[in-house]
Amino acid sequence: MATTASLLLSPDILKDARRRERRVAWRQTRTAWLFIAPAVVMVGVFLLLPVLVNVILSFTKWQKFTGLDKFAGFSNYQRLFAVPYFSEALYNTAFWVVGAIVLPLAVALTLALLLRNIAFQETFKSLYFLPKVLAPTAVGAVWYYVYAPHGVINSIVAGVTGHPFDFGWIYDDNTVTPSVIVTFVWQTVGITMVLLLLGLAAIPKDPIEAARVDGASSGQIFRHIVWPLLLPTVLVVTILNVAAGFTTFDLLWVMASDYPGKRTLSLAVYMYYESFSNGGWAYGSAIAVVLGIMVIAVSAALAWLQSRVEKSIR
Amino acid sequence: MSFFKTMTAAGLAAATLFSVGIAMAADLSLYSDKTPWDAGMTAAADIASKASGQTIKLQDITPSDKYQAFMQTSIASNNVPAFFTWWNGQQLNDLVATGAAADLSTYWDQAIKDGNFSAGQKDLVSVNGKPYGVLLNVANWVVFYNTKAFEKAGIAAPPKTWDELMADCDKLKAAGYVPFNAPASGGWMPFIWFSQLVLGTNPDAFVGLTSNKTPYNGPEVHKAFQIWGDMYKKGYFTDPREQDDSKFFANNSAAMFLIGDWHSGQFATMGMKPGVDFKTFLMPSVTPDVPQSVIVEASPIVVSKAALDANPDLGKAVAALMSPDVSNALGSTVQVYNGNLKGTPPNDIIKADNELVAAAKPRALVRWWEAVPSQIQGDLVAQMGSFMLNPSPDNAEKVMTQMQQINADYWASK
Repeated sequence: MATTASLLLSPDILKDARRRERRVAWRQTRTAWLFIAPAVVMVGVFLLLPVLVNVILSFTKWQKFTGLDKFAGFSNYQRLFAVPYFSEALYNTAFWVVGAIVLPLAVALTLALLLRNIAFQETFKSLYFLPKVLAPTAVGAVWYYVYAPHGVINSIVAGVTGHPFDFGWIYDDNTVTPSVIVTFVWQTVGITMVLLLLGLAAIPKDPIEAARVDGASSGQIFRHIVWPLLLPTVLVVTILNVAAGFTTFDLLWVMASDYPGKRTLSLAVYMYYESFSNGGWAYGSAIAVVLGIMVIAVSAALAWLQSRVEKSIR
Repeated sequence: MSFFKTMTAAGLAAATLFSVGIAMAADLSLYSDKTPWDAGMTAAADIASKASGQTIKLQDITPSDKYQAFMQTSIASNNVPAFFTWWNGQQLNDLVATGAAADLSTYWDQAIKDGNFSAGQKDLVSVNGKPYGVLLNVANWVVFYNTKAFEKAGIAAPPKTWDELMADCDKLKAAGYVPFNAPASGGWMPFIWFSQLVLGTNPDAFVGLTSNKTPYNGPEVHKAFQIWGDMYKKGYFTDPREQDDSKFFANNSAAMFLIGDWHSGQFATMGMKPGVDFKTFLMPSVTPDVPQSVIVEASPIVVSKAALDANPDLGKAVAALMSPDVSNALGSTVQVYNGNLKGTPPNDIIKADNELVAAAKPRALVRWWEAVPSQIQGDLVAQMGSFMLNPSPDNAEKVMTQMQQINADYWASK
């Protein structure tokens, strides 16, 4: 439909005006690109290029010094399914991911609900957040001595029972992964709690007040009002913890350094072990590719779920 | 294929340059993963620098797997450091096959002529008869023993036979000591007792382990595991889960420690006096009719062929590394002995070990760690560590089966 301006102005003037608009738009776009160019270059060179090289390496026969220039086809990927280690690492990773989602969330949500309306809550929040600022390798080194045969836990048990106790928490097949998960929860519960507190703060008070007036219990209020409105935040936290669970390496490598089965403690550890310890660069790259695809797929599914939940709330 | 190779080489070059680019520019460095020996290696680098007129600096990369990863990517991207520490045995074979290591025959011939080293020592760093490294460390694997513990247990002299050793273990236990310090830490130590017991029962089988001639679940290995398990049952070993590998020996809980004699330097830094607080003896063979053997550990410094070809002055640095000055510098700083016949052994322990070996003339064998293919080294050690944590007969069977599977799969893939 013609505008008043277009009816009043000649075609030449309109053409000039549009050309000027395009030039302004181009200059704005160019300026924007100049500002974001450093970030694009950084992401391209330090993130995308290594990912591309990694994918290429996974199709070579590079083992230690040789094989870099030999094409291996899909043999490295086929090998994943031919050896038991990959399935063991996958199982342990799944265990980790579930533990990394459920436990920090449960503990952090409990803490968030408790800390919402108490005195000195900022102090408590800071204290719970403190482990997150520590380097994971430092955390692992310290917690090793918590779990060591003559470490803190066993010393407490020995003190309480009056008998020597030197159970190898991070040497036993059944307890090594749960032990490291506890350390992971200790380190991540703070950040999870802060995010949940932000989500709780964003929940409007009116529906809660109205429910209270109608005689709803705290449990009913949480179940029918708080939890549905908190769900988008919970899903954000889940996405972050899923990625962390899939890629956990440092805690496992440091704490379980002398555990004989450490190779398959997680896919990330398996990838490192095959690459750096065994010199199997091509095979390690294939593991990295598969791990990356898994993380992207699961994160994308959760992100889609999160957007659906947010839309339904609105 | 050329696009493939170009892309991967370009990516690798970018990655390598990014991670160590600054360090690698005009890099005549001496790379090492042996951080406890930094002072000695810095001194050696300084002597080599003065002799050649080049600046050779020490660069540390630890731990060992990260160091090996760095070297593998450096060699793959044709960016080999001028000097770097490595391992002998199979590891050296693999490195020499890449063409990255310089043939140092000229320097060795001169060093032998000058009386600094022997032809036998040259063999420690040779592949197909040609030497590809200079010696950084030559160590005999011996049993360190606590002199006070032996005295308290009423042991007048170190054991000469296996039966005497077992009897001494009982005496030490009665005196309140754990006979042997035997950690499983560091990702490598579990192989120590495994290889010693195979060696002590059948040295030829020991050699055959790493060349696929002796199966890891064969009768020879079964015998070693049976003895090993028996020793655990009798309480002859310390808790393998202790991360500090010297703790129980240094704090006088354990009376003996089977390890390379380079460890004497570490005990000295922990306040123990070599030759006073601790001495050494050669581990006797388990089976009486098996001749005495000793494991010899030799660590070379490898020289880059490309660096030497491009800069002939580096040859003076190579010659300097083979001089008594470097040997004495290593000895006086970190008590490491590189075997130089004109160098002074750094302490009474190493001097005594050399005399012991010269007198006993045992069969010298390359350490299992260097002889085994590195692709299965970690997996096999993990299995041995698994046995140390649970030294039961059932677990021994499981471990031997797994080890042989790992070994067989590797050789089948060759």
